Amino acid sequence: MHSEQPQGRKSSEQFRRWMRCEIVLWKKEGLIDSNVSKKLTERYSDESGERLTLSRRLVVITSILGAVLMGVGAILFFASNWQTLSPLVKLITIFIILLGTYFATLRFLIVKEGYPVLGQALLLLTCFFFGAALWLIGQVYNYRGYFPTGVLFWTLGMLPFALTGCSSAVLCLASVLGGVWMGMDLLQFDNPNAWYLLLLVPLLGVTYRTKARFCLTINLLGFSFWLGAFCAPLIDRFTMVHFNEGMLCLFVYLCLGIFLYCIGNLHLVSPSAKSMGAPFRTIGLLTILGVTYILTFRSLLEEVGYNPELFIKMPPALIATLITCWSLALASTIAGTLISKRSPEKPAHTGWELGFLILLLLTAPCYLLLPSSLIMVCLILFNILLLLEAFGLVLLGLCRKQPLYVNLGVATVTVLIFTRYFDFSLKLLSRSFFFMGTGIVLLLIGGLLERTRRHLIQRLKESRNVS
Amino acid sequence: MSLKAKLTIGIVCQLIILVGMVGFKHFTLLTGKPILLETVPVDPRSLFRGDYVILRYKISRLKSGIIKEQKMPKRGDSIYVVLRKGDEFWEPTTAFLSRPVLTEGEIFIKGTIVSYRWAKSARVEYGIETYFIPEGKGRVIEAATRGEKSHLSVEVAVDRFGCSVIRQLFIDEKPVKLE
Repeated sequence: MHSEQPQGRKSSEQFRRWMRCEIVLWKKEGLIDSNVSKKLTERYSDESGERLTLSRRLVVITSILGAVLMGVGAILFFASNWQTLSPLVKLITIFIILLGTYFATLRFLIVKEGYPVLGQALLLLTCFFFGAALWLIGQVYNYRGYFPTGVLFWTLGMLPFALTGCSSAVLCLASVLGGVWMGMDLLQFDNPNAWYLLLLVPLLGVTYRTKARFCLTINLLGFSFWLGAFCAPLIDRFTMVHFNEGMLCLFVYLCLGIFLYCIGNLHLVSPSAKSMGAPFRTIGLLTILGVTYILTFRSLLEEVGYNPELFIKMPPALIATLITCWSLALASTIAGTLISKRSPEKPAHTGWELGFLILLLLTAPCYLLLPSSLIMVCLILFNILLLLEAFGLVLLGLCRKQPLYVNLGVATVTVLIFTRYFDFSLKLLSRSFFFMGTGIVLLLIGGLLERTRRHLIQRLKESRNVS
Repeated sequence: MSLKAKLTIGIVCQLIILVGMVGFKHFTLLTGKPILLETVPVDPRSLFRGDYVILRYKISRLKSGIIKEQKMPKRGDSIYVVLRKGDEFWEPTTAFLSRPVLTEGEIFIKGTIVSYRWAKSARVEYGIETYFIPEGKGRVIEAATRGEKSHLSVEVAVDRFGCSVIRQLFIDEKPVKLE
């Protein structure tokens, strides 16, 4: 169905957009061939818009880069001790500089409305200067050298700007620093801080509101790390004897990976939420692949000393927790698949996807029940499982035209080949031959895999253009 | 909410945090009682981290007999160490996991348990283990912390909440001037 031709000049934006739609229809109807279609598309491309987008991007990148460099320079400058100034003068100086930055930010963001990008960059610079001020005050009053609370204060100081949607760059920085604080606090006390969740919830809310996928990825990574740190001592506390907490954690992480992946699929329920599903799927896939990869290591499996008595002694609370994790993953798998099938997107091969995820869930309890006599069999099976996951991802990526899946699949195969090569060759060959041979093999495999990956991505792009 | 209001809220929050950090330590400096603490030698491998010196005190390691609690303390717990003045330095007498009741001549300093070995000792940090120094001035303090030819002591202000701030370093009872 052809849309009505817009009135007005030929070069108007509306006309160009209309022409581009018409060209696609003409090609489908066979009125023109690919060559003519390409030439016409180029003729009526959104040049001014593209130029504007490019120049705007350049302004954004330059401004943000300038702000970041100034901020890092300020932090380094403040970090060196000021030998000639008294503490009072240092404090007054930093407050003056900070107030000056606040003034400039307010001026360019509110008063002078024609400089929104510069204003945003100044806002980011303000946050960096705030961090510099924190560390300088810490230096003046001899706060601890290892100062996770300082990172928390830095995050809290940026939170109003991040939560009110003033700047996506500040939101990203707040997300990163929140994760850094969580990690530093964990290193100090060995236990994850529950307050991190209180910080995470509003950040996730704003991330969704502003559709900031990069921030969502950072926050999901932080949450995954926190959960692992939370589970390990919890399992330790639950078990009265040493029951191989590593395998229990891997089980929980596999359930988490499947859960996150299926949450990504659940986003297909709404066209507006669709784009926010990608970080969940990415982190979910990385978690699943990571867990399976770890299980391909003989040294890890050999540490598993299966003892039926220990398994029987596992406290009911721990068993209930593990069953809950597994059930949540299963429920999300089924819900995710149903939503995918009913969504307007209708991704291809949802049945295969469901089947594979169910298979992973059914094999997951086996991690906890590995008999020591069948270690070699399990090792081979896990390696095969990882290869199946990788090839499955590549096929799914080709069917759904998702380069990310293809890249992940190829990367997984690459890492597996390299790892197994190092495993076997190091034991069989003398050191010098090992290094030389490894170098040659790696170069060849690397070239081959890169060629394969490029070929697959090219095929994806071509099939996208055709459709 | 307008952009101006959002930015104003953000700026005010940042200023509150900064003023709070300054005020918290300054309150202790102004209202705290100055006490002299004895330092102990520090492992030279971990002495310097950039431009600050690591300080360790006699009260940094408490014998488990000092801790008067039934339940076993764990890492991250707050601990209140009661100090009484000896000949020159303030010495620990008892320690509790909650704020203690003091008698005359006693004060308490608040710390965090870093590690605890059952029936042996507890390692505690009080937030006064770091002292920032100008570049090139560290050798004198380094030698003093190792107790090589001189002895380092630290004057600390402790307020009524047990919070502490370093006021002055002394090498062989002479104040150290680093600026």
